[in-house]
Amino acid sequence: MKLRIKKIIIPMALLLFIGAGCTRSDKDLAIGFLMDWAVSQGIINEDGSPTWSTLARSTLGTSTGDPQTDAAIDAGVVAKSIKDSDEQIDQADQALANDQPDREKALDHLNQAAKIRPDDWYIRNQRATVLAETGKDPQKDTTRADKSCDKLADRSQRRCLERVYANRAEFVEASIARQIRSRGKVKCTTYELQAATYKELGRYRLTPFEVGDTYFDAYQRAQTQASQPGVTCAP
Amino acid sequence: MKINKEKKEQGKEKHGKHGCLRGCLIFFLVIVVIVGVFLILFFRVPQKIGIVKSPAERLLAPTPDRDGAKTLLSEVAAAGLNTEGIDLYVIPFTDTGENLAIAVLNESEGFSFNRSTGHNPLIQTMIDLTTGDTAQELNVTRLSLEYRDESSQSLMTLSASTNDIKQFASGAMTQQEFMNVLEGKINYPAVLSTQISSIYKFFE
Repeated sequence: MKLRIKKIIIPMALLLFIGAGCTRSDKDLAIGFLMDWAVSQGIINEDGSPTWSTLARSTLGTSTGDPQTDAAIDAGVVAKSIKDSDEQIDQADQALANDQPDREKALDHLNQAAKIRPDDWYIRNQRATVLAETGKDPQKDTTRADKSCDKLADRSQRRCLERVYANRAEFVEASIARQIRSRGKVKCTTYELQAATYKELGRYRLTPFEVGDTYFDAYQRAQTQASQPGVTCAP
Repeated sequence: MKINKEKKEQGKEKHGKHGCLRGCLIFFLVIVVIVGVFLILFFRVPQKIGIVKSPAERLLAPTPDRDGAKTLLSEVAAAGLNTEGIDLYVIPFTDTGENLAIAVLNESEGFSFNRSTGHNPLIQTMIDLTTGDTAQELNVTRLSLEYRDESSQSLMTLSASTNDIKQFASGAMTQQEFMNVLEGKINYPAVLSTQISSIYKFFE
């Protein structure tokens, strides 16, 4: 049995080397490198036959002993999920970019994106903004976005929250511009979301960014806009 | 009386044989269970069927730094790397807050290696992606590099720490030493099938 396995494996391994040497395409170059690496790691023996333990580790993905390295080796799954969710985000952006933004369509795409990556605050922020734009309560998404930072190591949490609120503020500003362009008036829920965002941003960032004044002023201005439904904002 | 005694002894014998058989069976089953549990854990079956989250799902759940990845990609493009067909993601590890750069080199989307440098083009790509200022600013501590062929089939995923890549780039580490610290995963069936098909093409 052992002999039979060797009879199969050795020619296969030889084929790899022969094949890698025939042409010079990028793929062959990559495979050639892979084979060098496999030999240096002991995945393949000097005679070209694979070592079973390392072969199992390399093909079946058993643990390296370091969780970060394991995560990095399996990161292809994560890359795919980000790519898929980003495609949904792009389609949502396209639906919102029209002269008459299709908010329901955008929400459908953002729902899909959130289903793929539920803890992604970027998606939650955008969904919250579009929900507010349609007059719905965005709190469920904003809370979920804020909580996504809790999972990070302590020292990264503050930086994460800063980025969450800064990103939300940008989405809200874009939403206000979009609403003014498409229907002349801004929903009160959007101004409420803006006020809440600047209030939180004021807590986490000391220097104002791109609002022209301090976050506290921006917060007060948004609150004033939200305070008179039918006059300063659309109910 | 004598007959009864013989019967009792026979019964005892029979009982003793059953006991051994049962004991052996239990022992065998325990061994099978232990080996089974070991194999299940060794091959990370619970993670693969979704009962337990894999390290990738657990440690790479946070939001990727989309802007950071764009900046990093433009920096390496400016430095001469062909970024067509590269999907790049920068994502923090949940446990440390350090960042992982995930690069997917996809030949089917137009990726090709830069062969103008002295290093192996694959290692050069690793160097280009991790040793610039942006990678340092983003606190990228590890790179995961996946290579996909012209049919978008994944052939391999390699990973190295930024420190090791920098050491190799500066000459403090030999290529052999670097190969030894490089971790990865090979899609053997895919590699074999591509090699066999290229041999067929050669003889055609």
